[in-house]
Formats: sequence, C-alpha cells, structure tokens
Amino acid sequence: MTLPELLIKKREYLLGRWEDIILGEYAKDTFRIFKKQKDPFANPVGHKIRIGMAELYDLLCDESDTEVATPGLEDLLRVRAVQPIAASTAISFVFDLKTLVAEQCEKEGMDRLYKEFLAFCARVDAAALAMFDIFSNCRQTVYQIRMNEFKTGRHIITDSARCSSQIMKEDMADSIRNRTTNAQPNEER
Amino acid sequence: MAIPKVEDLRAAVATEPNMFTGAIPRKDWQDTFTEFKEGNFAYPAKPEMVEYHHFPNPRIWSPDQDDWKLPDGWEDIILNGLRERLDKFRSLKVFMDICVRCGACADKCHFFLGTGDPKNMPVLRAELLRSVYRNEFTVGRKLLGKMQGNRPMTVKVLKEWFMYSYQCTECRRCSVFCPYGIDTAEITMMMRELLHLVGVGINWILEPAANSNRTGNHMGLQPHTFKDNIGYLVDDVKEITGVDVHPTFNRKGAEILFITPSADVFAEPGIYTFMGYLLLFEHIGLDYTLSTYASEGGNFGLFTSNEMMKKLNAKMYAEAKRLGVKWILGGECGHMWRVIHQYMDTMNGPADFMEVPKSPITGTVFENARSTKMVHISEFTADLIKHGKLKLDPKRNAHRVPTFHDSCNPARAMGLMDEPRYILDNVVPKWHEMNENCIREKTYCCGSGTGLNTGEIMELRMRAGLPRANAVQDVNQRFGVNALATVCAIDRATLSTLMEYWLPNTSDDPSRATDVDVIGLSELVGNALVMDGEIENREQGLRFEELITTETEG
Ligand code: SF4
Ligand code: SF4
Repeated sequence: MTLPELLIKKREYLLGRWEDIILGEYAKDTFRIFKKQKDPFANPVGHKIRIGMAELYDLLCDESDTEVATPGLEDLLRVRAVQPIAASTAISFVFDLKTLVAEQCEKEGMDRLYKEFLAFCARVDAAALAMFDIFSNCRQTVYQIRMNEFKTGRHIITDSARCSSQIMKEDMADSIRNRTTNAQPNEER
Repeated sequence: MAIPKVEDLRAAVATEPNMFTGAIPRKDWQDTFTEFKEGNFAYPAKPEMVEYHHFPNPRIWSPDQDDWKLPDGWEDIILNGLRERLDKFRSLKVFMDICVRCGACADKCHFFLGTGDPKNMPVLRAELLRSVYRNEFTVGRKLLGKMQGNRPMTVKVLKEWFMYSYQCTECRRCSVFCPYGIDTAEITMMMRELLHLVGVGINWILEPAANSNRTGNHMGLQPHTFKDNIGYLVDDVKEITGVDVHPTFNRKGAEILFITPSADVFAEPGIYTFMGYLLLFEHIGLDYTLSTYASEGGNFGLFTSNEMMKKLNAKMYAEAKRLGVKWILGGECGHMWRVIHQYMDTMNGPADFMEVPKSPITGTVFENARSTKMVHISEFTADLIKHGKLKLDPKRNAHRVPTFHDSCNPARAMGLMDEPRYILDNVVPKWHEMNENCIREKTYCCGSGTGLNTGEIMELRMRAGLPRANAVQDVNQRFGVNALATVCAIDRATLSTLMEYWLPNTSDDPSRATDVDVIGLSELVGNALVMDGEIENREQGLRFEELITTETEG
C-alpha cells in the first residue's frame, strides 16, 4: 500500500484522533460537548473545526492539490484567531498530523514508506506557512473592524461617548484625579 | 540558540496564561483562578463616572492588577447586599434554590459555545453566586459545606463574578431551555449590582448611563446637536427621494411622542433606519413629535442596577406628560423594549395621564399596550400594512436578500416575532429564515449586548457572536443572503462588526467590508415606500446606493 492509499483508508480514524488533539485544548466537559454535538448550529466551534480539518486533511493527501486556502480551513483559522491562544498554538495542530501519520507508517513498514512520508511532511510544512498567512489576515481583520467601528461612528455606540464625557470632565472637580499619580490603562483611552 | 520543538512551544503556551484570558481551565472549576489580561476584560469605570452616579468607592483601578482597592469590610457589604436582594426579589431566591443541575442549559449559551469555557455554561455562571448563597444563607451549610460546593465570599470569588457576569449578555436564551424557567440573566444582573456596591463596574456602561442622565441620551448629544443631526437626515431624505419630511421637536399637543435609541440619529447604519421612520411618518401624515430630552430609548440602567434603570426610564413618562401626548411610539431597540415591557409599568407607571394607544390611521387599538401606553414601531407598521395604508414597492429593495435576526429582548422579553416577518414579506421581494434553532425565542445573541459592545474586548465579542454569525453564513451560502435585517440599535452596530469578521467582503467592490449588510427593518420600509411628490424613477436607496429595480423587473 502506498502512503496516499493508506491515508485514504485511515481517513476517518486519523481525522477523529487529530480532532481530539485540538478539542483536547478545551476543558473536559467542553470536549465532550464539542465532540458529540453534530448539529452545526448547536456547536459552531466543533463544526468548524471538524470541517476545516477534513478539508486540510484532504488537501494534504492529494498531491495534485496546491491551494491551501479552502473555505472550511479559513473558517477554522478564523475561529482560532479570536481564541485565547497564542499564534503558535493556533497553527501547530497541523504538525500533529505528522506524528499520527508516522505511527501508521511504522505499522505498515516505515522503511518502505520513508520517502513518501518525507514528501508528506514537506506538504505539511508548506501548508503550515500558508495557514500562518491566513491566520495573520484574520488578526489583521480584527484590527480593521475596530477601526471600522470608529469610522462609521459605531464606536459611539460601541465605545465611550467622548463628547459629553469631555464636557463632564471639565465640569467635575479635579479632586479625584489629584489623588492619583500613575496613569492607568483605562486612563489612556 | 537551540530551536524549541513545536511540542515544547505548545506546552509553554498552553500552561501559561497568554494575551487574552488565562488558558482555558482544565481543572475542577472551583480550583481554577480567573486571570485578567488586557483584552479579556472591559475597562473599569472611571472615577468620575462612579462619582457622578453616587456609587461607592470611586478610584483608579484595573482588573489586571492584584489589588482592586476594595473598601474595608467589602465582604459584609456584598453579603448584606445579597441578603437585601433575596428579601426583595422572590425570583432571585427561587432561582437560587430550585436548580437541579440537569444541564439542559449548559450548551445553550453563545458565550459557552464560542469560548468553550465551562464557567460560561449558564448553570456554572449561576453557581458562582449560588455557592456563596448556600454557604451563607441555607440551613444545611455547616454540615455539607465544601462537599456541596459551598464557598465563602473571597477576593477570588469576587473576581470570578466580575469576569463571568461580564461574559453574559443577559440574553435569556438559556432560560428557554431550562425546565424550571430559571433566568440566568437575572442572576447576572444581581452579580453586577452587588459588584457596584463595592465599586466594581465597567466604564462603557456607566458612562452612557451618565450621559443619559445628563443630556438625555447615551451619546451625550445636547438638544441642538440632536436636532441638527436629524436636520442632516432630513436633507438626505430630500436629496434621495425628493420629498420634504417634517419632524418636530418638543411640540406640545402632538398626538404621539416618538422615542428611539439615539444611535439612530448619529451612527451608521442606524441613521438610515431613522430616515425610514421619517418617510413612514410623512407618508401617513402622523401627528408626532420628537423630544430632545427623552432623546434616548436605550437604558443602560438595565445593565447596572434596578434603581438606575428606573431613573433613566422615568423620563419617557415625564416627557409624555409635559408634552401632553396621547401615547408613545417606540423605535427599533432591543433592551429598551425589555425595560418597557417588563419593568416600566411597575417602576414608573401607571401612566394614566395617557390614552390607550390607538392608531390614528387604522383605528386599531393596541390592547397589548393598554397599560404601558407604548407601541413598537413594528407593531404599528405591520398594522398599517395589514390595513392597506402604505403604498409599497418591494422591488426597490430588490438588491437586498435579507434574513431576519430576532433581537434577544424583543423576541424573548416581549414576544415580538411575527410582526417584523410580516413587514419583511411586504417590503422585499424575497427573504430567507435562518435555521429554526437560531431564530424566534431560540435566537442567538449578537454577542455584544448589555454594555459589552466595547472595542477592547473585540476577540471576546467575536467568539460570543460566532453562533449567530454561523447561522447567517449558512443562509448566505445557500440562498445568497446579503442583508441581515434587525430591529435593534445595538444589533445594527455590533452585528455589522460581527459580519465584517465572520463574513468578510468577497466581492470585487473594495468599498464593502462584508458580504452581509446589517439593516434596520424600518430602512427597508422607508426604501420601499412610494411617496407623494417623489423623484420619478428614483435611482438611489437610503444609503445612496444604486437601485436595480428598473433593470431587472418591470
Ligand atoms: S436547565 Fe435550569 S435546572 Fe437545569 S441546570 Fe440549567 S438552570 Fe439548572
Ligand atoms: S442569559 Fe444569555 S449570555 Fe447569559 S448565561 Fe444565559 S444564554 Fe448565556
């Protein structure tokens, strides 16, 4: 069996285990719910992880496919880009697939599959770089949408209403301000 | 330098708290600590704001510093506050006692679904308060103690309350699924109230509340600015439609007082909704006036304390009385309607000086508003359409393929679900419903309500809004939906941002930020109205966008 054949045969099994690695970042109870609930509307994070990983898996297995930015993978990274995790964590799950695939190669005889495995790893590395670009774009969008709130005047609804507070500041006694010396984050706004 | 292996890197970032929140908890919930980092908390209230409201303990502090500068004896202040509220609000006592931890609510909260943090499960959110309640106020507390999960009031607990009562938008979706009807929103409200007693609150709630108190609206717009802004909108209406509209201000003896969120007057895309109101009222020749004092429908008191809510709400009736109107018509807003529908009557009513609202155009008596004297613009408009009083050309909205977002409060707190849909049926050629588990009383929150719509917690807002965005994405992909219609001012702002993140622009037009524009329902009404004396073959919509009616269908 060639590696591509092996990857197709083991698709469901490997995807399941790979998914568990990402979902394993969450607490126990969350893991259970995100894993079990298959309704995409009742479990959007679990759903987007599932779809995104499946699309990524398929393109890593298909040597003719070079376009990494599939809609599902973009969505998955969009989820990752607003999660409380570091950029490295957000992307690193793709490398976990190497480990999982290596295990399978061991079982089938790594000596024979070694070259194919190396080629697979190279594809994973290339995908990781492309994924990092997608991730960065998502982060960029986060900054952009904050700017957009300002530009449209929505920030007046979604952030401090400056006009009157300015007036109020002038109106109000300085007593409190005088009590403090250090500028705080909330003061810098 | 040795290059760390990916696995090592991951271990490092997973175990150490990072930029946004602490790492997602893996331990038992009672053993985890709440870690505040820039980006995971809304900024604390400025001392001026705290002082303005005569709230206790004004000071400069920040959640990410260890010392929150709590007043001496703060534990007693909180516990006494809790005791007082348990006596005052029967619902709170009941909610504290009857939860059987069945877990039906656990996966229904958009904050849990978006963050995966177990403390955002409604049952655990409530448990943050319940554990203290049991420890202090129940009979078996001494015997069962920690076994039962009881906890004394400590700084750790207080910090948890702050974190998680500000990761709840009081949307009440969880209550729909609870077999006992436990309303976690009420529990959140209590936690926030108790926190205010020791000076722990966020600026973006107290500042708009202060503005509202001072100038009458969240924006702090003074009367002349409020009037001027509407003047600009009148000019825009004229330019687009060729029609003169005639709003009046503070006019005594008008039949109806119209109150809407000030966001409609000032910010995109609310201003287009306001243009819709102006056209509608002109179309039917309504005898109405606007108030520069009751110039805000919204009420951030709801997110602060019941006293504050009552105070800010009182101006509506006070102004109606001063102007001598017969009844009040209310614009598109979310939480404003919750206050009106659920609290206004008992807090500031009965408003006997007004009449039971009756449409001057159709003669319909709004029995549902018999007591509050306040009618929702969608009820009013739907009634006009039903009686054939509006000349509408839905094809003018042919460039819009909307879906409808039920805002939490109108849907769950006042049962407004069919009127907006009926209006949509009549003002656009076609529109599509989202998945049935995401609409009507099961609607998902925009993720930024209750004063959480502030920029510093953008990532959190995007996480919490994912369940809603996900359902929109589905109809966008399946039916080409390109507009998200709604009847709430905060939604119009926050959903716009949400769409820009989750459904970014994929068209060739670089001026667009998203594939799905957020639109107030009354904008669609206004755009479809065929007005007397309007420009022949009008080419622009209320956003100055090009209309496509003439080319497509005849
Ligand atoms: S659904 Fe109701 S009874 Fe069940 S755990 Fe949630 S709050 Fe408690
Ligand atoms: S009220 Fe809404 S935000 Fe709060 S716990 Fe319930 S579902 Fe979550």
